[in-house]
Amino acid sequence: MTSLHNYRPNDMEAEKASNSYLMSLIAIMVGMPLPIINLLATLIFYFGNRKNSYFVRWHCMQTLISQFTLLLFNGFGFSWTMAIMFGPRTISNEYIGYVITIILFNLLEFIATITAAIRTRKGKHVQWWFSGELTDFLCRPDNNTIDSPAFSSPKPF
Amino acid sequence: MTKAFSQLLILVALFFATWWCFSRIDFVKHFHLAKVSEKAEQKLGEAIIKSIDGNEIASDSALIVLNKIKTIILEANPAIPKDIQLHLIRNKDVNAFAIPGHHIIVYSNLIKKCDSAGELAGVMSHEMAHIELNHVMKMIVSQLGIGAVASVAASNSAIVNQILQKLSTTAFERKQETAADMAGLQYLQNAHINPAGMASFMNKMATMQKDQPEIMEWISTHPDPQKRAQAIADAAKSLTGTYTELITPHEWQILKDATATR
Repeated sequence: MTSLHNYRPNDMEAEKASNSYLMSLIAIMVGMPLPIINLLATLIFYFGNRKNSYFVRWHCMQTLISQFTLLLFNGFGFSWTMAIMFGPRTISNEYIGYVITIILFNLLEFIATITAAIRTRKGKHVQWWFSGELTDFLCRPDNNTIDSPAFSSPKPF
Repeated sequence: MTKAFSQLLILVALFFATWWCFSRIDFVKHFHLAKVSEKAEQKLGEAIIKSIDGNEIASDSALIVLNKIKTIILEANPAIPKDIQLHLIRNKDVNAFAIPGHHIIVYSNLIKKCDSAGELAGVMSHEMAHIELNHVMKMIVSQLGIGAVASVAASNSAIVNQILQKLSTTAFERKQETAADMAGLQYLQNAHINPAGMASFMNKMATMQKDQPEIMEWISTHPDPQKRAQAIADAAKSLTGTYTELITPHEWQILKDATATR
């Protein structure tokens, strides 16, 4: 597999890859009560960049996978909260434990996202645990990407 | 892909382990969440009582008799909350229901339809079971949401009336009714009250509902009255023991007089 660790993206690529992480953070702030909003924003950003370089696509995909994984946990917590607010369920130790756990995981993801946004903006490759592995499997390099000399240096105007 | 899958498994395991660890902490106790909900329940009950205050029958002797029946059941059944309060309300409907805060509302016309104190004790034990099994708050939250309970804290009288309406006219879930029937029968048995009274009242109500469905609230809010009457009768038959007289005929007459139509 082609190693992105040795790849030096141009400034535009680094900015777009970094923006994919920032996009998920902005969407978290906008759609805080609804766990789906940040996933949708990341998905839109991914489709907007699906014809971009491998480096950009790879990081968009990594964000997308991590957001989707988090959505499953957050979605369950959200429906549990709704069942307490408007349904038959009552607040229990299990519920409070679950809320603390998802807050903790979201916080870790938040820190990791900021770190990744900063590092990719500097042109460094960041590979997360699980999301990175799955991204490697799902996101394949094409002929026109990292091995191509066209992407190793900025295009002349 | 195998590596990604194993990492996913570890991630999920880590998540569940963290959740399990946090769940071991008794947040409900530490943050007095149960007390908060108890207080909200108490407040809700008081608001409902206030809303029906004008119709309460102010007969001390009748209340003494009602409380005597209650005490006999309570003393034999330690699981039932001891602070249950009874309220005798003048109303043409044949109804009795539990409300939040461990209150039981008994309508005058229900007592008029009872032929014996045993039948009345049957209804009361059934409602006590709803309280002990926490069916009342579960029903309010499931029907109206936790927001309704919060609204009462803000003295929302419209919500109070809505809750009262729900509690007096809406059925509990079938399994809750069955649980309350069986627990009620057991309470009677423990208190040496003949459970046949509960069975006969249920049977009578099921029959009468066909003729006067508009006033037979107590039975109409209970699903499948005929089937339930049969189930209670069958369960009551299997219970044997020596039964004592619940109240004297004179006390029963006091209750009947207090609830007579004016």
